[in-house]
Amino acid sequence: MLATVFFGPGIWGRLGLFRTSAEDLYSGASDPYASQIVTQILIEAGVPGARAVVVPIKGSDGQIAVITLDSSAGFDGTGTASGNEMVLMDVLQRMREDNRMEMLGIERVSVDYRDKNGGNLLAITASQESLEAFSQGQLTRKELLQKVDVGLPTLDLQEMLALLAEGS
Amino acid sequence: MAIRYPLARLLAALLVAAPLLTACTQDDFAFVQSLAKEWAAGKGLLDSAGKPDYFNIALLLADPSSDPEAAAALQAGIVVKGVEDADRLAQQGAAEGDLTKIDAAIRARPSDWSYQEQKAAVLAAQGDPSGATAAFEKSESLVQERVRQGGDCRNLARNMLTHRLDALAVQEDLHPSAELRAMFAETQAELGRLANGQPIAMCP
Repeated sequence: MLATVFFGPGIWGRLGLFRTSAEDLYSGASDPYASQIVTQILIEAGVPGARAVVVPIKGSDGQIAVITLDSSAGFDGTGTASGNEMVLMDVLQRMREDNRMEMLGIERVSVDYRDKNGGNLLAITASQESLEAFSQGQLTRKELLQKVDVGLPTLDLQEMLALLAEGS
Repeated sequence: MAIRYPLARLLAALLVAAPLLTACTQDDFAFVQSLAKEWAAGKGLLDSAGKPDYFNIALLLADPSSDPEAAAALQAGIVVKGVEDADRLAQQGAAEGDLTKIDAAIRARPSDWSYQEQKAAVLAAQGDPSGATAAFEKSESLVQERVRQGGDCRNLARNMLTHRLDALAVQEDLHPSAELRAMFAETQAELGRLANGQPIAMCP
C-alpha cells in the first residue's frame, strides 16, 4: 500500500499536486479535420451518442483520437456482442484506411465512456498499431486484450483509499 | 457500499465496456464475461482460484499503466471534457463578440491556438486589425513551438488554418465585410496549397 502511495505516479496526478501529463500532452488545439472524419466513421457505423476529438500529442508528430461514448447523448450500448464486434471491426478498418489515406497521424485511440449525467465513467486505450494489427488478423483477440489499458479516470482519493483498505 | 463503489465501476469496465458495447442474450453475456475474465487474468487481477485479487486491482487503479503514454491516454477523456467546456465558452464569445469569454477559454487552455484564432477573427470583425494580427501571430507562435518540439508542420498548419477558416466564417456571417472575406479567401487558398502538397509560408 505504501509503495502504491509513494511510487504510483497516477496518485500524484489524482491528488492534484502536479499538472497531469495528459493536460500537458494534449494541450494543443483539436484537429477539426481528423475529428470530423473519425466522428463520421462512428456515425456511419451506427453508434449512437458517439463522437471523436483528435488532438495532437505534444513532442510527437502523432495524434490521439478520443472517442466519447456518451450515455447522456444517446449511447445505450445495446446490441448483440457478435454484432458489436462487427461494428468494432468496421470502425477499426475504416480508421486504418482513413488514417493512411488522409494522413491523419493517429497513433493512439482512447475510448471514454460517459454516464447518463455526462460524467467520465471509465476509459480504455490501445495503440493504433495494435488495433490495426487486430483488424488485419495479425493479432488475436486475446493478444489485443493484453495490449489494452483500462482505467477509471475520475477515481478520487477517498475511493482509492477505500479500495486500498479493502485490498490490504 | 462506499467501499465497493470503485470495484463496481471496475466491474462495469470489465463486464460492460471492454468489448465496446453491452450484450443482451445469455450467450452474448457469457461471451462478454469470458472476454472480461481473459483480460482480468492477463492483467493479474484474478488469483489462482479465479477470484478478484483486490490488492492488484487497487494497484492497477492507482497506476493503471506502466506505459506513460497509455496512462496519459486514460486521462484524455477528462482533457476532452475541458476542451468541450472551453469550446462552448469561446463559441459563445465569438457569437456575442464578447472577448472576455474567449479570454477565459484561453486562460483555461493557454496552449490551444484555436481560441487565439477566434479572438483574432472577433477583433478583425470589430475593426481592430492590429489586435487581430497580434492574436494570429500568437496562434502561429504556439503552432511553431509545437513543430519545434517534433510536431508535423503540415498537419499542425492544417489544424490551425481550419480553425481560422471556421472562426472567420462565423464572423463573416455575423458582420459581413470585405476585409473578412479577403482573409477567408486567403486562408482557403493556404489550405488548398496544403491539400495539394505545395509549400506554404509556415512549412516551406
